[in-house]
Amino acid sequence: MIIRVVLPAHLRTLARVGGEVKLDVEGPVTQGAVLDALEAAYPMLRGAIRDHATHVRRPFVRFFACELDLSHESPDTPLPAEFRCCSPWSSCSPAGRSWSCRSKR
Amino acid sequence: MSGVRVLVGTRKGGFVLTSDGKRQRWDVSGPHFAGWEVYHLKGSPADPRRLYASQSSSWFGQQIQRSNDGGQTWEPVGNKFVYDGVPGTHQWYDGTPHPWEFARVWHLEPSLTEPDTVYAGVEDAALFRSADGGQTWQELPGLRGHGSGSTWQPGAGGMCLHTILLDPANPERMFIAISAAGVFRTDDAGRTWRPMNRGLRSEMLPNPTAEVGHCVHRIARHPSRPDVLFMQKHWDVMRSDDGGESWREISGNLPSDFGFPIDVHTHEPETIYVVPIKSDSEHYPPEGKLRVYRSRTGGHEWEALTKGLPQRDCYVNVLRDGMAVDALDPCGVYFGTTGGQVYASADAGDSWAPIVRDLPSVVAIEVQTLA
Repeated sequence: MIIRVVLPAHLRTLARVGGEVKLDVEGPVTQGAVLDALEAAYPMLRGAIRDHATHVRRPFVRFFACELDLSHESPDTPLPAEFRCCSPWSSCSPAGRSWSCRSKR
Repeated sequence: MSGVRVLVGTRKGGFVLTSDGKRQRWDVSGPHFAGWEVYHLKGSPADPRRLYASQSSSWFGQQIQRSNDGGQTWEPVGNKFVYDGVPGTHQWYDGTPHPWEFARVWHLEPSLTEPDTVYAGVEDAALFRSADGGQTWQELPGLRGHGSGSTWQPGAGGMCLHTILLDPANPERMFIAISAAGVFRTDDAGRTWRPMNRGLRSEMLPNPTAEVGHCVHRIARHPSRPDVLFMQKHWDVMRSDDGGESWREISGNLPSDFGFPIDVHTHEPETIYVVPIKSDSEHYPPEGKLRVYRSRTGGHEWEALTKGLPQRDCYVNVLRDGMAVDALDPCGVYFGTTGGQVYASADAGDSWAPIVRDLPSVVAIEVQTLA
């Protein structure tokens, strides 16, 4: 499934991308699976969103999808059905259905 | 023709300033890593094209960037800094035990001979080493494990290992300094360490002459005299003539002996520079006058260097990594301020001019002299 991810500005700078990135996530689409795919595509993001070893989310980073705050959900919980059904990404509406990783400022 | 490259770390990115040997006209490139704090950048003495940069953020943690072309392009390398074994605790501000937690890399010190070898001084204080160009990092655990680690405490800026001095004549010897623990020396390439703080006096400690706990802000040395060390402590400017075994005060006639950076003239081992700051609660120059002080006698007797520097209404600070010298003749001296100015002197401090005036707050300055 193709997942669109919106990164905050600092991580876009680090990953040298503009706007959103598109990831091909295999298997169940969970927060952990999206992060795994993100870090595989952009290795420089390892350690910037979650801990290298424990995979615990960095304290000031939050995860949003479908206008929901999923920051405190288990990384193994499937993402909302509305989110999961919007594959491929091109069939999604522009707002509210991409998965975003944001810093709280 | 010879030239210089000034590497500037700021609160919102890194900058590279270049000039020919006259040091009158400058090109400014950057910001690199825009929006991120750049605590330090430094070039390899063995290969001046190889640069390392510490890029960090309270939100997104630590990154290490590496350049192989003198700062024109950069690539992120390893950012995994894991303490060896169970990290244990150090003293928190209130004196209670606090777990060791990695926060950021304060200082990167490339090897004098191997471009792929680089040391990192980090907060919470520890020393790491990479032998593969920054891809992987291993702690030298003998420092934290030497026995006093549980009594170290953070200075106002955090418990940082901020100074790493390598010895050109003896690869087994290294000095490091921690705020607030003090100076430590290894004579076996980092396996074991000894505190080197005899002669320091810090009134903020329960025992002002304790073996560790001193808030050392910076140490510097001339490569031709490895046993002569100069120190800017929280308060007091100090000197050691015996490789750190003992220290004596050389503050002399300074208007304030509080400050952060200290550096040594490239060609005159007894000529040293400091930037006096009013106090630990007022981090700006005395009387609103930005003055570098130079001693040509290895301390005690200091002269104010003011030509070209603001002499009224100036309330900036110069941080501990914020001063550097080049190797040209006459020696160039550079410093950056929290107000975003980078000042340069092409005549050993006699006169100054700003290279740039309006960068983000400057954290660190390093200089490379190019053939």
